[in-house]
Amino acid sequence: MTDRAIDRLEGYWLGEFVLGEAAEADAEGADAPVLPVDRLSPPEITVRGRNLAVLLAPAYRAMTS
Amino acid sequence: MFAVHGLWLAGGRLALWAEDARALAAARGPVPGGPDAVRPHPYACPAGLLAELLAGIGPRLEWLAGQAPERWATLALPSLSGSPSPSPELLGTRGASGVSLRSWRVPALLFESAEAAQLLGELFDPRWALSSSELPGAGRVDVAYGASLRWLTGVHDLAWRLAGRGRVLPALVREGGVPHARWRPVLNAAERREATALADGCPPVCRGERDGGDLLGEVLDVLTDREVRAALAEQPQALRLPPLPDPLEAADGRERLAERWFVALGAADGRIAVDAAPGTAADPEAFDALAGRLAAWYASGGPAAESVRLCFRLVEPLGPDPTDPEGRPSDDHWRLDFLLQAADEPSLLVQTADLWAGGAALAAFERKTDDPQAAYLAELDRAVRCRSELRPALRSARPDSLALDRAGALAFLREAAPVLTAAGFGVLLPTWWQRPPRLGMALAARVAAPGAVETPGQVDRDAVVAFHWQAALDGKPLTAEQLADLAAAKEGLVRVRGQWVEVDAQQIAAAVAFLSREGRGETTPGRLLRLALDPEAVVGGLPVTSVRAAGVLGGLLRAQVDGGEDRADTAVSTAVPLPDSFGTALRPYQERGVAWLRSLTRLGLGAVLADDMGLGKTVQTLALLSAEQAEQAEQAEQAGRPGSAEVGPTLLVCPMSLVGNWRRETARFAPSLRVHVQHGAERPTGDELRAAVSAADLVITTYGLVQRDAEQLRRIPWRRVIADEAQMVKNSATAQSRALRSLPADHRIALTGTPVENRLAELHAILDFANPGLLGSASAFRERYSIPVEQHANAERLAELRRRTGPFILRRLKGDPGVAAELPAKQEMTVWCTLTTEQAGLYQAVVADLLHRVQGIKGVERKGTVLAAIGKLKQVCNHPAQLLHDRSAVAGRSGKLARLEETLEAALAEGDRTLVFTQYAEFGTMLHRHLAERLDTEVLYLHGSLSARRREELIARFQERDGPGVFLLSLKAGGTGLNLTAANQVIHLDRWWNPAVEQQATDRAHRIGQQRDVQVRTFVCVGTVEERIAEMIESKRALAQTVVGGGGERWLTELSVEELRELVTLSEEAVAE
Repeated sequence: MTDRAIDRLEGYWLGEFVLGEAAEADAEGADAPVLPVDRLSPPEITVRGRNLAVLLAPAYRAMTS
Repeated sequence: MFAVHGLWLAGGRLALWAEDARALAAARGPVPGGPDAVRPHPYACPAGLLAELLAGIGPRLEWLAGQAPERWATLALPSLSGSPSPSPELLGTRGASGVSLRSWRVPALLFESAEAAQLLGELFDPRWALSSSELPGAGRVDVAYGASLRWLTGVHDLAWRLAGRGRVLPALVREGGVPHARWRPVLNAAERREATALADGCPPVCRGERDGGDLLGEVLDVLTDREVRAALAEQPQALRLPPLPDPLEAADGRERLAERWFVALGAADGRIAVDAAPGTAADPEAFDALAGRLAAWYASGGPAAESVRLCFRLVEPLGPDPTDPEGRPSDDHWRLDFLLQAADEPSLLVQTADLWAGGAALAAFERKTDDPQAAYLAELDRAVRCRSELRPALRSARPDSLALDRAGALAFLREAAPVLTAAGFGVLLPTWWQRPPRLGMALAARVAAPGAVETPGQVDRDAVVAFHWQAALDGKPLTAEQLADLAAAKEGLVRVRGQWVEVDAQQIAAAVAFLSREGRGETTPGRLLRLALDPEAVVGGLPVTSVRAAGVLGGLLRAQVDGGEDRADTAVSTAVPLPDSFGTALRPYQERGVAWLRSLTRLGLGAVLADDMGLGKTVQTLALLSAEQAEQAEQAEQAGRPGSAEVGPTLLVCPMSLVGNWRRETARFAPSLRVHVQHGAERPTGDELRAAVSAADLVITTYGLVQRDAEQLRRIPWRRVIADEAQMVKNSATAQSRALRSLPADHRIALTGTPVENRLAELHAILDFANPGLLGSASAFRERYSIPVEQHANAERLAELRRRTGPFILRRLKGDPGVAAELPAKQEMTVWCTLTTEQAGLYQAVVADLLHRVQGIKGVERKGTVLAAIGKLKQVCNHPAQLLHDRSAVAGRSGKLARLEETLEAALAEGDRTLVFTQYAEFGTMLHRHLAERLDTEVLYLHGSLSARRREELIARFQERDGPGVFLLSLKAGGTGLNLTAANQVIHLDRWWNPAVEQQATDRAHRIGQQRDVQVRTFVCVGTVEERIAEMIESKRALAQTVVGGGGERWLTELSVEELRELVTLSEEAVAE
C-alpha cells in the first residue's frame, strides 16, 4: 500500500463538510426568487386540453407555502 | 456508546448500521475467515438493537425504525490485523495508521426512499453529532452520529430546501426500463456551490469507490423528489387532473402518456401506469415524443446568465489509448469538452477546466458575469435537463468534460447535438460529421474486349461494357482489407483510411454479399448510364456514388455527372469520316453533332438531337447514315466480302409535309442511300413491303401511316427508327405515339427543335422513345421533376434533370457562341414542300389545259397563255383556294401551308420573329386570318392597299421589343425600303425567280442594325414548276441572270412545247398523301 493510500484511509471515516452554514446564509439572503418553472415558456404539453404550466401552478404553490 | 452510520444503496434506499463500543471491548483478536471472505463485523450492533436505540431517541424515530426491515449490508472499512478499525465517533480518536480496506458484513435497518427522507430529516442537526437513547436494560447510552450519516442529513437538508422553494422541474425518466415521473432539482449558484462543497467533502466511508459528485447527485435527486411528493401529499388537490373537455371523447395518443405522467407526479412512487396501448408509456415513440417536448420546454428559458454561453466540443480519440498498457490507439475514447463562451465576444472561448483553474480564464469571464463558475454550472444543469445523457458530467464537483465511447459519441452527434443547438448551446462538431464521408458503390467500366459478345452489327461494337463494382468512401474505392475492416466492425462509427464513418453492419454485409455475387460482369451502356445518372440509384444496399468509364462513355459521364456545364457533344472528340459522295461539307458544330450521334449509336444509346431550327438536324442525320454505310462497306471489303455492306434499314417517320423535304435532302446530301418512301394508297404491303425495305437504306414514312401500318412495320427488324419533329409524339398516351414506340429497333433518334413546348412531360415522352425506360415511368417522372420544377421552380431538381438527360440530348441554339461563330450571318436554305392530292389534281388540270392550248398559237397570245398558266401553277402550289378564288376553307389543303405553319411554330417557340413574303396579295390576305388563328398570335400584314400611315404603324409595331412574331408582306409593297431588323427569319413563300428582288426583300431583315444571324428559307414544291425553274436558275446561273435580268418570268414564254412540258409536268414525288 502506498503512502497516499494510507493517508486516504486515515481520513476514511471522515468528511470535510460543515452542516447548516449554507442554510443559514440562504435564510439571511432569502427574498422571493423566481421559480425555475416561471422562467420557462409555456410547454407544448397539454393534459386533457389544459396546458401543463397551468396545471402545475397549484403544485408549486403547495411546495412553497 | 454507539456510533450510527449511514450507507446509501442502489435503488434509492438507506441502510443504517451502528458500532457498539461494548462489543468492541469484548471482541478479541482477528475475526476468523479467509483473506477474501466477507466476514461479519465483530462489534456491529444487531439491527434489532439499533431499532431499539432509535426508538429510545424519540417517537418519530421509533415509528420509522418499526417500518424498516432488517438486512445485511456489505461495505469496505479500514481494517487492521484482521479486525475492522473502529470509527473515530466510537473511539473519539482518529484511526491508527497502517490500515487497509476490507469488506465487512454489517446488520442494518433498511429504509425505502420515503422513510429515508423522513429519517434523515429527523436526524439533521447542524450543531450536535451526539445524542442519547434510553435503551431497555442498559439505561441511557450515548449515541454518536457518524460522518456518513451526518453527510446524508446534509444532502437531505439541501433537498428539503430545494423542494420548499419550488426549485424543481417535473421530468420523465426510465428507471430499470420502467417509465417514471420525477421531480428534478434545479440549483441556483449558491445551491450549486453548496452541493459542490458537499460532493467534495463526502466521507469515503459513505461513497466507497464512487465519486462524491456522483453520489451527491443520486441522493439529491431521490430526496428532492421525495420531499416534493411529501409536500404534495399534504395538499392532494394541488395536482388534480382536470375534467375531460368532452367525456365522450377519448384523449388522443399524444395526450394519453402526458396524462399518466402528470398523475404519476403526485403518486407515491412516481411510477407511470403502463399498458400496451399506443400513445402510452409502453410505446417508445410516445415516450420519446413527450421527453422531447419536455426537453424543449426546459430549454425555452434560455441561459440563466445571458452574458455567457456553454459550448460542447466533441473530440475524437487521438494518440495512444491511456488505458492500454501497450499504448495502442483506441477508437473508443471520445471526449466531450465543455467550454464557456462570452455571448458578446464569441472569440472569448475557454475550456471550463481553465475556468476551474482560475487565473486569466476566470478573470476574463468575471468581467462578463459575477460568478462565471456558477453561471457555467447553471448552464450545464440546463443542458442536462435537455439531454439526460450529459448527467454523468454532474458527478464531478468541477465538471469540465465527459468521456464517451463510440456509441455515445454517435448518439451525441445524431441526437443530442441538434437538440442542444436548438436550445441555444454552442456545439462544435468534427468537420467530417458536418459533411460525412459517404459510403457507397463505385462503378468502373470499360468497353468489353472485341468479340467478347455477339452484337447485332459491327457498327455497334461499343454496345457492351465490362463493369466492376467496388465499395467506396466518398467515391474513392476501398481496398478489400478496408472493406473487411468495415464488415467486421459493429454498428456505429468506424475509422477507415483515417476518416470516421458511420456504418450500418447490415448494410455492409449486404454490400459484401453483392460484391462477391455480382461485383463483375458485362452490361449495356444504357443500363450503366441509367445507374450512373440516377440520383437515387442503390446497388447492393448502398448508393451509387461514383462511376468511372473509359472512352466516349466516360466523356459523356464526366460532362454530366461531375456537374459540368459542357454539352454532350464536347465529350466526343473523334470526327466521323464522311464518304466523298456526301453532298456538302459539314460545319464544325455539325461534325460534332454527327460524332455524338455516332458515339451514342455505338454505345447502343438513343439520342435526341434538339438543335434550333435551321442548324441542320436533317443533314447531320443523313451524314450519320452515310458514314455508317461507308464504314460498313469498308469493313466488308476488309473482310473480303465486298458488296455485302448492309447496315440495315432505317425507318424515318415525319409529318407528311416533310416527306418531300427528306427525299430531296437525301438525294442532295446522301445520294448513296437508297430511299423508299412508304406512303400513298398504292404503298406496298406484306412481301412487297419487305422487298422494298430490303432494297432500301432509308425508308421514309409518316406518323399517320406508322399508326395505320404498325402491324406490318413491326414485323421488320429496323436497324434504327428516327422520329423527325418528335414533338409530334410528346403525348405518350396517343395511339400514334404508342405505335411508334412499338416498332422494334436497335437504335432510336428523335429530332426536334422544341423538345419541351409546354410541359416537362413532353421531354419524358421524347426521351422515353429514344431510350425506353431511361427516366422511369411517366408518373415517377412527374413526381420527381414535373411538379417540383414546374410548380415550385425547384432549381436543384432542374439541375438534376439536366444531369440525367444531358448525355442523351444535344441542343445547340443559334445564339450559342460556339455555333454562331460557325454560322454565316445570313443562312439560306430551301424548304421542300409537297402537294396535297387536291393540289395535285388542280395542278395537272392546269398543265393539261396549257399544253393543249399552246398548240397552234403564237406570239403575244402564246406568251400570255404560258405566263397565265405558270401563274396558276404557282397559285396551286400555294393553295387551291388561291387558284379557285372561292374563299373556301384554308386549313389542311396545302402542303406548303402545312410547312409554313410548322416553320412558324418552331420559330415562335425559339423566340424568333419572321418576315413572310408572298407575291400574291390575295394569298397574303388568306394567310393573315388563318395564321393568326392557327398560331394563336398576332400576325401583321403589309400590302399595297394600305395607307402610308398604316404601313408606318405596322412597321413600328413589328419593331417594338415585344412586337409580334410573324409579319406577312406582299413582295411588291414590302420588298424594298423597309427596315425590319426585329426579324431574324425570312420566308419566301413563292418564287419571283429574280434573285435580286428576293435579295432585296431578304435585306429588310438582314441589314445594318441586325443583331442576330438571319435564316432565309425559300419554300419550293418538289416535282413542280417551282422546283424545275429553281434548278434551271441554279444550274445556269449566269445564263439565268442574263435571261431574267429584266425580271419576272417572261423568258419562260420562249420555251418550246416539249421544254414547257418538261418544265411543268408534275412528277410522282410531288404528292405526299
